[in-house]
Amino acid sequence: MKYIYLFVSFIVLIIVSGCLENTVSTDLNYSGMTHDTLSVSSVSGFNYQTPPELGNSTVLYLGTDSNGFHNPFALFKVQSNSVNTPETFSSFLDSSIVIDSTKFLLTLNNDTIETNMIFDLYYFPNSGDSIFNESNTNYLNINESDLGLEYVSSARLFQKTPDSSETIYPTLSFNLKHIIHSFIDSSNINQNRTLMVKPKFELSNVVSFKSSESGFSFAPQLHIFTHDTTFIDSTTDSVSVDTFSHHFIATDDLSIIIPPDISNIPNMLTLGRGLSYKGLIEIPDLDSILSPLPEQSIITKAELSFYYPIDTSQSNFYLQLQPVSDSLHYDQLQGVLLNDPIEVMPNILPVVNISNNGKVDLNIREYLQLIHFGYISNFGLKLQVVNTSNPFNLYSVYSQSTSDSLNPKLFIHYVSP
Amino acid sequence: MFPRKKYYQFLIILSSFVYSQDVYSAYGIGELLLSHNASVIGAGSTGLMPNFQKNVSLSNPSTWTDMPFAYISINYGGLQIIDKINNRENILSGLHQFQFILPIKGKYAIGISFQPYSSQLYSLYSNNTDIKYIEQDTINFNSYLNGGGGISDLSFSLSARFSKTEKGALKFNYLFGSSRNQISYSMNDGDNGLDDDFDGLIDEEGENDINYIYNQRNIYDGTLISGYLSSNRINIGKRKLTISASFNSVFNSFRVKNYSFYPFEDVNNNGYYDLSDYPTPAGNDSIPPTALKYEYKKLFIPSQYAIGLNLEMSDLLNLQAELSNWSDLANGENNVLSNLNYQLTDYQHFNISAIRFARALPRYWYESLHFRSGLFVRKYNLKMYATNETDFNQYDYNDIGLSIGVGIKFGLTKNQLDFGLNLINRSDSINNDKFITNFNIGLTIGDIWFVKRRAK
Repeated sequence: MKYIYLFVSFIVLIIVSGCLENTVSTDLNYSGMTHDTLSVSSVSGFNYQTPPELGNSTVLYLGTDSNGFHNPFALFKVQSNSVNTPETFSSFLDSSIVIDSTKFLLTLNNDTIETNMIFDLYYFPNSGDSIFNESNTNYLNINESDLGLEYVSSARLFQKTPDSSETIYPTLSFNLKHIIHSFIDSSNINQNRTLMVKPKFELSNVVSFKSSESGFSFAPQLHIFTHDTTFIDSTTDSVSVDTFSHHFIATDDLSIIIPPDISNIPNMLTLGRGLSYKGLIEIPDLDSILSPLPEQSIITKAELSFYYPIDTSQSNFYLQLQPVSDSLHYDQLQGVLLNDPIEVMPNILPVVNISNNGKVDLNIREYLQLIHFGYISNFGLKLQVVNTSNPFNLYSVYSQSTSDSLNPKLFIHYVSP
Repeated sequence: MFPRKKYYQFLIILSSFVYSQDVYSAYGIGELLLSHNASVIGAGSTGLMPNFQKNVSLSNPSTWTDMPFAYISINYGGLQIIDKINNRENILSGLHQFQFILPIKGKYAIGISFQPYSSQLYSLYSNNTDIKYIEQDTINFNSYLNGGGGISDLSFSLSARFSKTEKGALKFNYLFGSSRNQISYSMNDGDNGLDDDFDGLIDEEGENDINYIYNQRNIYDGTLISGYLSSNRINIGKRKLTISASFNSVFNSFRVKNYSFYPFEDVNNNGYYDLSDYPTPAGNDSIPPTALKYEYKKLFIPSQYAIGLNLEMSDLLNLQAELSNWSDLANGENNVLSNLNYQLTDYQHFNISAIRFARALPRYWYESLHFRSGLFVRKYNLKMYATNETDFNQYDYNDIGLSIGVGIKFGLTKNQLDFGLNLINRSDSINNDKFITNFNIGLTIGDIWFVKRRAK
């Protein structure tokens, strides 16, 4: 046992160790990972049309565009809660609150005042509790003559003189004090708190106003000015008078667009918000193309490229590509469809900003990777312009060209163990 | 006098050895550790012939019946590989053997030992950047390989004396362990003129690389069997000649469970799979499939035979020669064992050694020392597989080495402190010539078992 100390120290010496690593350069041919590419030319595009979907647009349009898009009126539904005071419309039933004035304000989308424009305000006292829906009301399912609208007042654009270099947007201010009771009266079963604005005369161009999606400051809103009278001491005539301004935002708003009749251009895939032309992209052989990839391949790059005529100056618009989530029946895609029948998987592929170089490169890496994982099936891709694009523009790309170099193609890079 | 306590502390401080790597540990299952103890390394042999004490080798169980005492032995070794051209050195060090041997009445012996069988620790980068020209783009590819782990060997030996001159032994080696291999495959399609990592340097080396990392994990287990025979029946004149032979083969298939994890793009270049990477490991539908699991039984089929001679020139001086051949009989077209697609197929060793053993009853201090020396040559044959088992290139490298060692016998039970040193010149046509230093230190403590103690 007298050697036990020596033995223990020897073991401790073995256990305690450090680490130093110097990377060594060597020949690593065939070292386990490879890169390869695939080129796919069997890409086709198919157009279909739905009514305009402008419910989430940041701008409301009135007037007629030079391309023939007609914007007859805009609709607004006012919230029943004030955004700056605790009041609701029913609060004004209190006899101690006196409504002094009521205005409905619309803000122009640019800071240059348009002259000689008069707009009328209407409301719908007898039209039921629902006039429109932001997401699915369109020119095909709403008719101005069927709405039972009643005139409220008219207004011209007005711009305050700026105190400094600040930007002052012109506004429309409609007086609606005389009909505000229909918004307040809780016993009214037809209460819809909906307003409509339309130009008094036909406009030869399009005027755009800020919508509720543009933010609280410039959203269409109803202002109610009140004062309260309170007796300070019940034994005397001493009273206190407080004045208030209550703001009710129109959280739902929609301008109706009636698109012109435009025939589709052969061999071109046409896209547009106002016309609501959308594209359906098919890569029919994709499964058989991807199946030979090694099992644990990772797609490093996948660019779906479309070409377009540069002389159409289709610059600076955004495209959104979304995987279709279910199989399609093409015979259901004829004509103008009241509802978009194509269900998609959102937020998988990025939005692409298109510059004016004649070529659109769409990154569909995630789509191909998910197919290779076996998580989704190749039902195609839905292509549309995003809601920040001008709704009156049309964008066309070649879906099939006599020149091979202009045909859409898919180029895939992948790395495999 | 150096106080004992300080002596231990000094040993511990000295023990901040380095673990490091070289390309050899990336071949196949890694660097084979076939010489485990200081006495074997001092003799430059594979341990078949007696080198620990007269008639005894710690590595040959058939010689254990000649042990006078039971022994516990522990050996620690370090391997330094110097790249002479690039002036680069790497060191691999660690426990080489722990062994308990119990001789029974000079007729039988049993032993249990634990030692590394192979070791992998490497960090390699490619010296041959691959360039592709794809659609007006020039893409540079490079590879980095990292790996670590190894196989441990827990062995159980039984030996018996058949006659006065013949002895034999069987050894069972249970091999087990794991390793992790990583390939980092980088792509670079040119500078972008940006400071992507916000360190103030634009387009510095590696900044524009996109790295794809592929991880694998292997879990090993298998059993080998070894047989040993020794005979000293033959004499040359008055000189006793001992002949030993051994074989080693697979007893139970060597299984490799391979877990292949889905490669990922290391977006934030931190080397780990995290939420910044692609495909994202959590949080959305792109979570990659789970690791693929494979089980292989024919990836590694080791086989070894050896023969050796020991001629007693005098009572203490012995001359030895050993020839051994180790082979991997597997068709190693699969690079599961190592990302570097090389298989060590053969390994031949030949040595001649001279050993002067310590005197059984030393009269002077230096007569308590064992002196060992030897010359050896080794040849390693590799197959480098390109795409399949029929498409490979063969490649070999050779060692020529000098060994020296000393053993210090002390105590009544013939305890021993051994040192062994190999100086090896490696001729390697692919990886430049190397100079290798292999050092080992062993401590063996003896005790008497199966002896009736006198009642106090």
